[in-house]
Amino acid sequence: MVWIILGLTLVALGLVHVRRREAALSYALQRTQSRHAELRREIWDRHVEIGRLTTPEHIAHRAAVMALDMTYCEPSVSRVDPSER
Amino acid sequence: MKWKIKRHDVVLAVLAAGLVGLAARHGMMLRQCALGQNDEDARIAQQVVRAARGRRILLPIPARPGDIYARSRRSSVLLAGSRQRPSCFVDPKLISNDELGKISTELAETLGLDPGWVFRELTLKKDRRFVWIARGISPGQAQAVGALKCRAVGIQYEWRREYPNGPLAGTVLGYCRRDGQPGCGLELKAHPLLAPTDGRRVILGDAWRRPIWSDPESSQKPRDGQTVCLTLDVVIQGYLQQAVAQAVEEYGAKWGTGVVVNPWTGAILAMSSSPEFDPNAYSTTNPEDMLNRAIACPYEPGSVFKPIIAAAAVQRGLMNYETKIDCENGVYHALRGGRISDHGHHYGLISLADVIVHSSNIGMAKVGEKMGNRKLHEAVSRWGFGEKSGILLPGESGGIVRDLEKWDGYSLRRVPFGQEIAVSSVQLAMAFSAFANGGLLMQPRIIEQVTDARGRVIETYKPAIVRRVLSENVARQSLKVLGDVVRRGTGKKFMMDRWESWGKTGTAQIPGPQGYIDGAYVASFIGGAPMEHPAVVCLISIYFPDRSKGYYGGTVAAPRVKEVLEKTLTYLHIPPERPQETFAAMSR
Repeated sequence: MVWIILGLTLVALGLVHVRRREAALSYALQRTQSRHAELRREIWDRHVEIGRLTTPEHIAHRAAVMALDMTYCEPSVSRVDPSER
Repeated sequence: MKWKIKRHDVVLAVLAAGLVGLAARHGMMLRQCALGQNDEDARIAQQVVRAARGRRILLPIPARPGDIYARSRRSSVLLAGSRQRPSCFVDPKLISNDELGKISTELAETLGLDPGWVFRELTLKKDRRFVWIARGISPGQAQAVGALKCRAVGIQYEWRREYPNGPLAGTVLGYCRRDGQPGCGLELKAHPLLAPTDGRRVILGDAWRRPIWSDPESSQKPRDGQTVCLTLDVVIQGYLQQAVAQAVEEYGAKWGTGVVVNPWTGAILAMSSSPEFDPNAYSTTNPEDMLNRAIACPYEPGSVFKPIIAAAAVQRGLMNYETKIDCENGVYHALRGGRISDHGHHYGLISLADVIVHSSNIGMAKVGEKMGNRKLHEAVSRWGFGEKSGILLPGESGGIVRDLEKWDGYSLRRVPFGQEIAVSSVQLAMAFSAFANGGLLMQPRIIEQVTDARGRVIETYKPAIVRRVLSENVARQSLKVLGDVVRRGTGKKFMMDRWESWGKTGTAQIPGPQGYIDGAYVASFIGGAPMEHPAVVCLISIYFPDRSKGYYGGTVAAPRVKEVLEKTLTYLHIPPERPQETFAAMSR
């Protein structure tokens, strides 16, 4: 009888330990997933921001602010086949 | 060994039997619930199921709507993208009257709002469970709101569609509403591609819905929307949009449209409609300004239609460009065909080529007589007028081509110079592309390819030929005649410094309920360059310009088309056909 009770106690302790570990990992997983969502949100934010900064209008504006010469170069002699565009 | 029943064995057996009995009863209840047998048991079973469901916490994992890109010579340019912005809400029912003042002040300070306004808002909407306080706040403000640690105040992330290029190609793009539903334009047409599928995370919670256990098997991964890459070139789009807007403003017109197309592939390089529309400000825009008039608003083309009918007559073998036509010295009274004039010009016997070069209405009426209504109607249909071009944009009009049975002697003599028929800008541009590419009517393309969120190509839209409308020989001859229109005809203002060009003017009257409206015109010009191997075709139509400022296609639209094409050819690195000095000498 004692052995049975001892065995059941050990099993119970093992289960508690496993359950505790599972809960901790589950919590960590949830935190990671939450952080993942945050990071995705940040990536999307930066993605649109890059899109905004690379519009021709913004590039021209920044070039003007930095006094860069953006005069268009003369066309090169190599012929561009329009069908390739 | 002799088995001796002890007391604890009995206890264990009773416990086991009890458990089995409970499980069996639970199962029976669920079954009865499903079968709807015993009302009381069914009610209990439903409660059990609801309780089990209540323990399942579903957390949505947001997926991102797809982007729309245009291109430039070196890279892709974002036209439409999405990001999530935090918004602050309050559940006023969770705030006691004592706390109301304090929370209002704290919230107002954090979000930079008027405390009085926040207080009034929360007091007036005291009975509601959800009140927006500020939408689209910064991430820093969202963090500060979280730090208030007030359970009545929350942050919800909302998608916001942004158009970094503002009004550039706005009428092509359309807009997406705040709730993610498309409003019009490409956003509407490509919605099935752009729409994301949200994922979900399933968590098992306790009776207080505190998360206990993650259930990955029931969870779903989010699927971001696909990316749509357009054939539009932002630089050429900018040239065209500026030119059309300037023409509309300069001549006080109601609206204007423009299209730039690659005649070899049918790729739309630019498409403009003025007044312009900024999709970022869709809620404050007049709905009429959101129209993509290049596809949605057909108009009588007038003289720009002449080369198409002339080429069709030549293709049919009814005449050639050297065939002489009597232009009746400027006024023609046709039998059952009304009076037709050449608006002050007195042409006699001239060739078909000169009919196009000098844009004689009488000459074209005679071409119509030669063709007859049936062949004329066939030609018009064969060039794609009266049917949708199939461009992947919503709201396209196929134009107006009446049934053959309704055509009479007037139609026979008026359709050839662009009356009694209505066409869209994109239809005209595709028709003229056939002159440039050796006689093929191409399907207009606005989407180049579709990729998934990781950039893998899912679908590529290849150039599609609708049908051959002209033989290569007739197309070449027609192009030469159109070149003469620029050299010595009505399109002289389109002559370019460094490239040989071709084109056709059009000044069409605008019909009203009782005949043509006095002083109302559509001024159009469509042209292309270079002559040898045309790289682009450009059309600009200006609707209802102020007559006192100018209304001829050659005056209002031709200089703008020239401006767009010169910039575009330079941008595309198309080598000039003559050095600038030669042109200067020619001009002298």
